[in-house]
Amino acid sequence: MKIDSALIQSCIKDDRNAIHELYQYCYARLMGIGMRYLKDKNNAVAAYHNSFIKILNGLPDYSEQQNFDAWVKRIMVNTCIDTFRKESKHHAREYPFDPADYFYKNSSVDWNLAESKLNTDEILQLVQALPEKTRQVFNLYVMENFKHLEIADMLDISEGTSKWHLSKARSMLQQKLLKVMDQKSVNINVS
Amino acid sequence: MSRKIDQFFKDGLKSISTPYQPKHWEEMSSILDDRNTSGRPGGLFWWVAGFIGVSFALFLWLPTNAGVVGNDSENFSAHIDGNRGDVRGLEINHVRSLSDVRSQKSKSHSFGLHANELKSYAVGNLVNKGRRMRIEGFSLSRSPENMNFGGYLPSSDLYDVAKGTEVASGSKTGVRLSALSALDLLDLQLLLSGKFKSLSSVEVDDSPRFFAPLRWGIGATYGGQSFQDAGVFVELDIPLSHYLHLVFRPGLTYASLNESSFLIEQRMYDFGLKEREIEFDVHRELQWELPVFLMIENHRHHFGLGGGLRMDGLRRASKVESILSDKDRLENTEESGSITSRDDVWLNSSSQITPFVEGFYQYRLTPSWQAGLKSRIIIPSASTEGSLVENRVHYGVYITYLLN
Repeated sequence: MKIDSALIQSCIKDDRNAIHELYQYCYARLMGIGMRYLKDKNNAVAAYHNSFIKILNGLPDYSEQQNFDAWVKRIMVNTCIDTFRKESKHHAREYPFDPADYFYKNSSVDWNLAESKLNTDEILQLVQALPEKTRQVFNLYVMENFKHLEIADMLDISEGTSKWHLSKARSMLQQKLLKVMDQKSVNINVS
Repeated sequence: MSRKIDQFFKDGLKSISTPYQPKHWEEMSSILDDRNTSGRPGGLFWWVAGFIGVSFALFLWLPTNAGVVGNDSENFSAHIDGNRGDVRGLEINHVRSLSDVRSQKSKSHSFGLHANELKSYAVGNLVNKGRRMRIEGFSLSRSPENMNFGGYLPSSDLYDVAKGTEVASGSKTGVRLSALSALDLLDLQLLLSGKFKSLSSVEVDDSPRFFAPLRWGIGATYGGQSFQDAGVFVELDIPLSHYLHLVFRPGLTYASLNESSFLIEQRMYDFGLKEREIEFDVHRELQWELPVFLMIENHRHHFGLGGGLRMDGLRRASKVESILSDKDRLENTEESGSITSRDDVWLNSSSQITPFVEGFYQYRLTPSWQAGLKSRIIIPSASTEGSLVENRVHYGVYITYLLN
């Protein structure tokens, strides 16, 4: 399915069938982003709905010369960040830490083995288990290819803090990954 | 290692499967229906913006409309020749007092005094016992003894004007009372105490007694991490004693998040009661103070304490007591003084200790206007494994106008 100008014009004219078609198109592309940035599916759906409203509102200004997929993805990412910001104002921060992860601190991962043993849902669960801001930084840097300076600006943190979060994310993910693989009785090469 | 782990998660998360669920479209569809019936979002924003605008309009309107009462006055000239040569050309302005305007039962009168030596506008009460006249005047001065009164307004009973006073004669003028007197109407403590008519900024007694009016005001804040937060608050200052104040500052804060996205600009607005502050100010000899404050933010309670420096410019009342001879000659003049009001400048800083370190700075410029610079610096408390640290700076300015 492609997004053409006729579909966009129909959506602008509030044609509900066209909007439904656009909703399905964006759903496949944006829900995954929501799942990566937010903790559960309910939050991801809420963020997607907010994003979709913004997409509809932005359609009159959308230029077809620009990449539609990139445009909607950016809106979704920004909505996820705003959701996190808004909620972090009202809730105490959570710093999940499992002391058992320390066991794997100095271990190394056999990446080929990991790729063969872990499925997408398991990898997603590892990312979702990261602390909120660490997860945001990891997603923005690794998945969206933003620079630390841009991430710092988006999340209202310093560049150094962004680097710290990324380093922390990598360290935590590696330990959690080893733990999961260990539970699956995979051999670990202890260095 | 970094590249490998990044690539592993990048590849692994590329194909997250999120099968389409029709129930989500039903939710979206109902959202779209609501959107079409309720119109564009943002109504709440305009309500709050309107509230802030009205507050400011009220705030600007109040002082300019005060002081329209008490314009029925007479001007008397005594032309007293002082036998010491230090009080000459005494001129007495007969002004009907504010309390007289408010209550016809009151027979109180106040008099203004212009004398070369005092060099300031002065108002006095006339007490006639035989040929004795007492004039209470005001002049701005600063003296150590004034500090002891804490800058509060002393009060006195009004004296009735005796009949047959022969020391003055004159013509009518159009003198108006000060704006401050009219604003006394808004003093809750005065209204509740029923002592309103006996208190104004122009009354002095021989021995001032403690009177600390309950003060209240409205204020506005502007600031936040990206200068996108604004709020209004009410300030209530309850003096418990000379040295202890209880200050409440409940407020409504509006915060917006403004994120520039790829093609469109997203705006989010956040409303709510964000901050309530209770502050105890302990003053001693007006040279320093020790504020202890409690801030109640959503889900967080902050305690703190700090110190400050305060400088006062005090308004001192000079009382001139004169005895006139039968031929309107000045026989004796005595002068004494007491504190009547305060113009102060003070700096105040507070620091919060846990869980973060916070700074809180205020600068008060006059008794009525309070301008502040609010700075909250959140410093990482620890850098232990499993904890996240964060550097954030909140800053902003706030202005309070005390209504009494």
